[in-house]
Amino acid sequence: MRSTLDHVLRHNTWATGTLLDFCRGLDPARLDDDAPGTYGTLYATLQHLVGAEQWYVWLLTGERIGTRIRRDERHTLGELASIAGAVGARALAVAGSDDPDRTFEMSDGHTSTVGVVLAQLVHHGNEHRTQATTILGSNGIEPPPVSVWAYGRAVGISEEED
Amino acid sequence: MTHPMLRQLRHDVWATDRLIAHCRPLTAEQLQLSVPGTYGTVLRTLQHIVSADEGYLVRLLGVLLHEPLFRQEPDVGLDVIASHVPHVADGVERLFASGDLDGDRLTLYTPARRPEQPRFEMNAWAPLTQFVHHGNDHRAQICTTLSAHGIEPPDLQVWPYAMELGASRKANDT
Repeated sequence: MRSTLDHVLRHNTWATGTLLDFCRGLDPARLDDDAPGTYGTLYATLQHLVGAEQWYVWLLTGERIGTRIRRDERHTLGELASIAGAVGARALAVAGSDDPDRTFEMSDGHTSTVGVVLAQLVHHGNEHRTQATTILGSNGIEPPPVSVWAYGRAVGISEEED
Repeated sequence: MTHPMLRQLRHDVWATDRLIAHCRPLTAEQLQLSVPGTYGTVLRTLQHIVSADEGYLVRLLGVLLHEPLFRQEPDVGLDVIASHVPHVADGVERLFASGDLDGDRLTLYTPARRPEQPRFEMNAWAPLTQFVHHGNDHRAQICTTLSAHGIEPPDLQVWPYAMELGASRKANDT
């Protein structure tokens, strides 16, 4: 029996990959689009999303997967997609093997647990993907479906609306 | 040990509850704000989040949480929406009352289905995962709407939730 959190993490990785693939097909100038109330430009949001997940996995494992994503350096969307896929796979492995109650110290001096960081990873991904799709929608571009129903269709399960 | 999925869902309920509380002081006009590219008004989106949460739980539990069902229409006020959050919280706890769920369990129907609607079968992990995605998705839209109109949104990340629970705290170095 697969853990229920396993599915949440798989969806997270799939949705980010789907969004990045979609954005790779856009006119590159659209990556500078933004919308009021969101994180920043479409590109900045995507980079932040992947960079944060890279950091979460570093927090949990001490491993920096792929080139370090820094806020002031621009990567190609292909690079971001590659890192996002590898980071997602590592997060999945952590969820399957680590103790969610294991406590560790973060760089700001606070302590946290594996479970908290994994929960934040999921929240963070959903939040910023929504901002990215809002930017697309508000600039007249129909965003790709990244709901779990769309994921279900992609992996061949049943579906439901809402 | 708190099951990681239960922790995820508890954060979800906490975040929705916190967002509703944050919206309490808003005027009726502010609750009707929206921005292009999002689901709709603040109020309508909140209703959509909570009614959908109930819908996912009804399918997963196989029973109605209460009658009548809390559906998307007609539009209701913030008090009504808030009154359904305890139903969601209770449903989440019932779901994990006997440990982890079998995500591969096939749910054959939902008691929330209207007679004219098609019946869908799905593995339990699908509505469970959608619960998490959906809440985060629409809360982020509301936060975008608030920000776009000059209203500071609440911090709904897992960090403040964990701080409240003591699961994340300032280390006592000596």
